[in-house]
Amino acid sequence: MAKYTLAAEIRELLNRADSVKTLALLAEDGSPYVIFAPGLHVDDDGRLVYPEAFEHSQLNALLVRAVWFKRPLTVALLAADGRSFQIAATPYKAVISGPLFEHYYRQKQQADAAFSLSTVWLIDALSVSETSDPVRGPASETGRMPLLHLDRIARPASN
Amino acid sequence: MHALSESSLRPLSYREVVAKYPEVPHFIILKIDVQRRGVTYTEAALTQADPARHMLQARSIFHSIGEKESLVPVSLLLRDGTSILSGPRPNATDPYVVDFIDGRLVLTDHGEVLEEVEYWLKPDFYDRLTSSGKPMWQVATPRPQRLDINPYAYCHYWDDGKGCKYCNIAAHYNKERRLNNKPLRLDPRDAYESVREAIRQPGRFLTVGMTCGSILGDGELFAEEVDIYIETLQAIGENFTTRRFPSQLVASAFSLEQLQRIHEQTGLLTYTSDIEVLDEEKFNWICPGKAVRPGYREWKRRLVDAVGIFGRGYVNTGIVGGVETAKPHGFATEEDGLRATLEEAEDLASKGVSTVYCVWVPITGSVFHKQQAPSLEYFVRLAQGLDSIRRYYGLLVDMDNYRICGNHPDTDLSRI
Repeated sequence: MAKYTLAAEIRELLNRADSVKTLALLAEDGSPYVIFAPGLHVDDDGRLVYPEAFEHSQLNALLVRAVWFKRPLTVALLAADGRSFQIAATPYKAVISGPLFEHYYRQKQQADAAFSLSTVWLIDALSVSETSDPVRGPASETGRMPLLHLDRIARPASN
Repeated sequence: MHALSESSLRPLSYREVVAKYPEVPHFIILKIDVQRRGVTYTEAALTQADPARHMLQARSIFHSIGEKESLVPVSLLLRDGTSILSGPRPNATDPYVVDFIDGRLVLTDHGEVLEEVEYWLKPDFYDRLTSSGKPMWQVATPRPQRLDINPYAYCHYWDDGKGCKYCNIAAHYNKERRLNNKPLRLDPRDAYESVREAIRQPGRFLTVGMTCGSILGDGELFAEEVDIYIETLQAIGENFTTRRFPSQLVASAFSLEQLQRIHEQTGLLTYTSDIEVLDEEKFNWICPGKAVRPGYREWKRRLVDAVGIFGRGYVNTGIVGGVETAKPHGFATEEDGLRATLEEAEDLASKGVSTVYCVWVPITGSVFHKQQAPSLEYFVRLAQGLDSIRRYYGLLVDMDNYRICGNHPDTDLSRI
């Protein structure tokens, strides 16, 4: 069971087919690595699950590095209604065998005979923040001197 | 590279090694140390071992678990997918302890919780019988992703007492034959049927590993061993639709002609021949039988020949990491042992052969059973060294990695 509990709304959005999800990690050279992750979802225990297809992919290597050295990753979530969220997370476990692995193996096999499955990653969410403009704007700008271009407050020219 | 903490200082503890080598994942340092020191289980941990779900019985060429007596977990799996082949260590003096705390199975050291662990899970075929009535768990030994088949249970270097000094294969076979009627030779049809049943479980197995003791024979060296492997590999191969199937043979150093026969007549994919000790003088002392037939240099030459047949990245050799420091004729310092071993590993790598190691455990039934394995730090540096050599020479080790095998700390490092 993950320690941080994802809100029911976030769980639902993560499990919806019309949501867009990405996984982002930092590579060794400091450059960001971001990948669309349509297979990312939440299990019944509220833990993030990502079945990675390829054993030798950059993503898999970065996830291994993250579980080895306790490095963070970020999930970005874009809902169909335009709201967006950022989930700070960390890999908990690389499942490479056993009933859970076999569950996803069969699921993928039924969907596509040419499937590939390397690792079922279990990922612990650490925090969630909404990144939609109507939320993050006030959150970051309140209390600061407004950044307001003058044309927006200019008196209309009289003819 | 870090300098070893030499003998004037006390060996570093697990925590100290983790702190000194932040570039090495703690999972792999822990795996090494659990193998070095052994592992035992609290009653609470043993109550979590479910005979219906977990592997509590295994019959391997070096040890057996759960033949008749109490059932204990065969081995362990860490959160990152790293296996710990723990094996029975009844005489371990300072073992790690698996406990069940707050709903989790954990590895502990003197009461300190270090990591979560899982017991290896039992595959579906495990309790079935072959048509000849043999329990399949006695025919094919599973790891999390691999099936091990041992077609022959004895090593004939022991016929004249010249077996390898760290090895218990002869003592183990003699004991198991007496106590549990363990057969010398595995029936290839039993192997065929067990593999057939095992691979019905979707997603369970990635490869078949095969090994047995050396069979020297009266005529051409290893000819009978080659015949046994061919017969067994052919039987197993009937289960697959492809000409070659994911497989690893860990065998004696076969001649070019013998390797060609195996490659042509079976579906074998990869070949391993364990040279065991990477220094000619130490090899001659520790492996006196192999030192004569076929000899250290010939063993190396045959490994290089195998690359020409199986291909680069499909041939490697194993060493018993640390045994080169055994007393009295081993390397006097760990630094010397490490340097010599890595120099020879680099020579092999430059010719397309990668080297992997297993942690030397001075095991009951071996000549060296009263010896002391080197420090944890030594094994960490050995893993780093072998991994670095492979990277420098562009040698992939997918054939013997953390999920194909799971018993080599150096190939665990090669995951990323």
